[in-house]
Amino acid sequence: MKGLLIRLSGTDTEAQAALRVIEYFDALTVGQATVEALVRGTAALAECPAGIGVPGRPPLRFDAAGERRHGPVPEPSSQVDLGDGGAVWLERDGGPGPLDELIVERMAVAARALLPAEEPRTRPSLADVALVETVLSEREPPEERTKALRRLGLVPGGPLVVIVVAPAQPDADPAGSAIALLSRTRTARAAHIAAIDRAAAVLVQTADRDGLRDRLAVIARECLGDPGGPGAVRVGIGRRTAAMDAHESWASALLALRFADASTPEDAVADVERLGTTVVLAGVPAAQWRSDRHVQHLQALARGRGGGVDLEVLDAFLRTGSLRQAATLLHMHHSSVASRLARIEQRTGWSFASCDDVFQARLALVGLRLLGAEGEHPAGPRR
Amino acid sequence: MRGAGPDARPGSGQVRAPYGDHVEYAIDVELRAGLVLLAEADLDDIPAFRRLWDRISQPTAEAVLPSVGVKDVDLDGAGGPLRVRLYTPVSAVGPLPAVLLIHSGGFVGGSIATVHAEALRIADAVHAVVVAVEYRLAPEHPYPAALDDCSAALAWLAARADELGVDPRRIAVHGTSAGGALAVATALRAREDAGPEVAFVHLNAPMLDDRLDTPSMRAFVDTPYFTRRAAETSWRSYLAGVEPGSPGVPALAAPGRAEDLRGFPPTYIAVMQFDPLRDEGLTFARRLLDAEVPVELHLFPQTFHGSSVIAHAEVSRRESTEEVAVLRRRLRAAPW
Repeated sequence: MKGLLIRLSGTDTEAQAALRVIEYFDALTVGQATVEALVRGTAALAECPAGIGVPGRPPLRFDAAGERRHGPVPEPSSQVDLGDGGAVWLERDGGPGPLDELIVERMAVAARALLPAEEPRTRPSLADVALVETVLSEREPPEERTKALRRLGLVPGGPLVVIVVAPAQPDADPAGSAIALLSRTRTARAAHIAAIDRAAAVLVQTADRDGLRDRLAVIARECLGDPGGPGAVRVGIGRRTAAMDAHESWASALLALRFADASTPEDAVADVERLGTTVVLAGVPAAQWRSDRHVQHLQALARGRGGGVDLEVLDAFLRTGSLRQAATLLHMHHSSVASRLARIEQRTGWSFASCDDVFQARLALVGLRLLGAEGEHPAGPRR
Repeated sequence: MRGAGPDARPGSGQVRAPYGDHVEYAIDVELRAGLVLLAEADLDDIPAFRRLWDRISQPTAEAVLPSVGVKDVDLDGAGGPLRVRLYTPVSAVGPLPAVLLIHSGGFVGGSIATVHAEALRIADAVHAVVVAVEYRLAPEHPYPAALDDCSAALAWLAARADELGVDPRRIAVHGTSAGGALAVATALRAREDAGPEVAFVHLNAPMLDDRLDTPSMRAFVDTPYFTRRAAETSWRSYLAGVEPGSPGVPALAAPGRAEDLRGFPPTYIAVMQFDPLRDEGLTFARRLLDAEVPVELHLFPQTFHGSSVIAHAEVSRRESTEEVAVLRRRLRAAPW
């Protein structure tokens, strides 16, 4: 099937058409269109020739069919200056159309974002804390958040992922750790980082959230043993939301962070989407976890001799579901794993042959981890 | 339009956010933006689909090119009068090649009006006579109605070639999407019946196989604009309610099932990357190669089914430039 292309002059109400214009330029911006594609796309949208002028270059113009236009430039029907001597415009016969003001304004915004004015920033960098706080605030009016996003170089109409980075060492600089971590991910888009309380908020506008998460997990694991790196960190990855809803992503990142465990490489990076329903456990009050006898069993285990290793063994076994795989994960002999598990069964009364008990054990471990921020789970790297 | 800021939402009919849907498919950025301008085409409500398409086609359905004369003709078809629209380059000197243009629409929609602009462009750029066929649509007229109409149009074109200023040895059949199935079937039938000579077959994102059993068909359940579900509905309608993939569906209905392709006319196939139909086009090209039929194949990157309707995009312009170049070459079009 072909052919269902709506023309702006056609079927929509004015409000619907305006919305399409905004979405259209957002798509070009988020998709990092070339300047040519921007001008060509504007002409096609407006159904009349469009052009851009940049100081030192000849004007670049296209008609609505996507052909280059050459020759003398007529008096534009609408124009917006880009503020640096450049301008964008439409060349409509008979004067501006009803949507032209919006079109040319949005073209200008897109042009400022897409013109290669300087070396594109692909390295993570420290952002103005006030701007980041504004973006992450639910209470700030939308115009303020939009301005803050733009000043950070982010696209207000685009998606956003907020990541929170919390170094395990309390006196480590969270922003420094975050920069060290993010720069190792070789993220294609810039990450904007600001320290908030004792953690760093990282704003990333990317379409590849899964890829970023996977790279962060690898790097967080590697960083545990790297003296020049960020050290042990916990990372919470929030949901992808609209940039204008960044506060939701931030809240979900903080929630995920509670499930992150710096001492276990596999768990240093917690992704709110991977956690799934587990996140509801974060709503359980700490007092309730503390009074739970299974959690108490695990705390007693942790305090005992070799207890830290016992917990790691338990975690690996429950995670993999298999003695041999747990042993591989832990670089231990499977008989050592088996004997530790037997001792855990003895101490806790669990039988790992029972699915119910396995479930209880996993639940208790999550509870222990959630309590862990209060220092009841040994911190610091063991491997 | 002040006040229609980024948070504005219309009262009804939410426009899709550009980053929300389809973000996992790496679609060309110009096409991604163009998606904002595409109407949702829901084959589950066929009357609404037809009305929508007619409404959208209106601005271009009356287009005029001074260099191309347009005339509607009614033929005697198998199901009664059959309308075709004849596009003739005004400055024709001597017999011209011809293109039988079979529109898309999932067998259930589309019309001469929806391909009018395309027919004008091809007639002008290729310098050929174009015949657009108003074939009968399913589900009211299931297989073989549409095929009979296309065959009748081809037969008429070949029989009246002299009168129409056409060289009967240089007739191409051009089909898009469901029209691709009809184009291939028309050529297959012509081969079987030793009927009119088809010099060339041009296929764009063809729908060829009701078995819906290719990797792209299985994977692309939610690609822009055309999904597996749309393919199912199209086939079910065309096959008069027979489940797609049932045994006994004839090759003239679903030409991907044709076993012997030897002697098939030289063929050009364009496929789109994120199109459930992609792999059946690729498979058909491969089978033509194996049958020693001259084949040209192009997979256009980062495209989706029907994305060439976003005509200004660079990749769409390459598609249409190539279309013209291929037709001109294969039909040995005159330089003037």
